[in-house]
Amino acid sequence: MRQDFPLTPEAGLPPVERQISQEKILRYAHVSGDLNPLHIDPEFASRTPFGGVVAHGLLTLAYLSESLTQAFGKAWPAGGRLRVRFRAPARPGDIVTAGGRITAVEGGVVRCAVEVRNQRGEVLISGEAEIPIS
Amino acid sequence: MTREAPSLDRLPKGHRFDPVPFRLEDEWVDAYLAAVEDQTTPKLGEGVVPPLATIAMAVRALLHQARLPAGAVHLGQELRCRRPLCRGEELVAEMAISSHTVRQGWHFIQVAMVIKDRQGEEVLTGEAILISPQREEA
Repeated sequence: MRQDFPLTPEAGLPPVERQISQEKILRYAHVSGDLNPLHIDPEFASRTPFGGVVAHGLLTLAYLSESLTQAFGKAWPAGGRLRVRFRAPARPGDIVTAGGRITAVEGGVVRCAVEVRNQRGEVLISGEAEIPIS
Repeated sequence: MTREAPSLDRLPKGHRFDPVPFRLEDEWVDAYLAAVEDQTTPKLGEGVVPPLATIAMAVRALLHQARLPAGAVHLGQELRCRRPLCRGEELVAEMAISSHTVRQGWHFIQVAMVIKDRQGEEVLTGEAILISPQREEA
C-alpha cells in the first residue's frame, strides 16, 4: 500500500474541506434519487425540527470517503470498513471538513477515528474506520 | 396503472425487498463524482468506484420499492468493502429491514444491505439507520 503520510498513531488523515450549498444538495438529490423535501424544499424543511434544509448524510459522508481515498488509496475499497453516526446536519452555507487520525496500527489493520466538523467546530459525523495494510 | 411504493416507515422488521439488479454505469458514476466533487478516484485504481457511490446507487434502486418518508434522515451508516468495484460492473443489492422501533415520536429503521456480484459473491455489505417522525395513522 502506498500512502503519503506516516502510518503511526495520531497521524492525521488528509482533510477534505467543502462548502455546502443548496445547489450541491439539489445535484446530489437528483443523482441519488433521494428527493426528500427535507433536502430540497425550504418551506417544508422550515416546519421540521431541523428548522431548514439539511444536506443528505451520504453527501457529507462522501467527503470522509474522499479523505480515506487520499490517505489509503486502493486499500480503502479493497477491504475497508467504516462505521459512523450522523450527529448533526450540514446546512447550506456550512463549510465542512472531513478527516480524522490514526488511533492504532495492529494486526495488519490501521484503525482511525474519523469525523466531519462544520466551521464552528461542531461534530456532524463521527465514527471509526479500519483499513487493511497487508 | 402503477402502484406507489410503500413508505419505509410502514414496513415491519424482517421485510425483505426484492433483489435489485443495477449496473455502475459510466454516466451515473460521472454524475455522482461531480455531485460529491471527488477528483481523487485515480488513487483507487483504474475504473474503481468509491464505495459510497455503490451504496448511493443501491439506495437509489431501493427507492423504487420503498419511499423515504418526508423528513427522514440518516442517523448511522456502516459499510464493509470486500473488494474494489469498477465502472460497468453488474451487481445485485439485497436489502431487508433488520430493525424497526418507534420511540418518542420517531421511527428508528435499520436497513441491512448485501451487494453481490454476478457470481453471487458478497462484495460490499452495510447497514443504514434512518429516523423519521411518527405520523398519525391514516
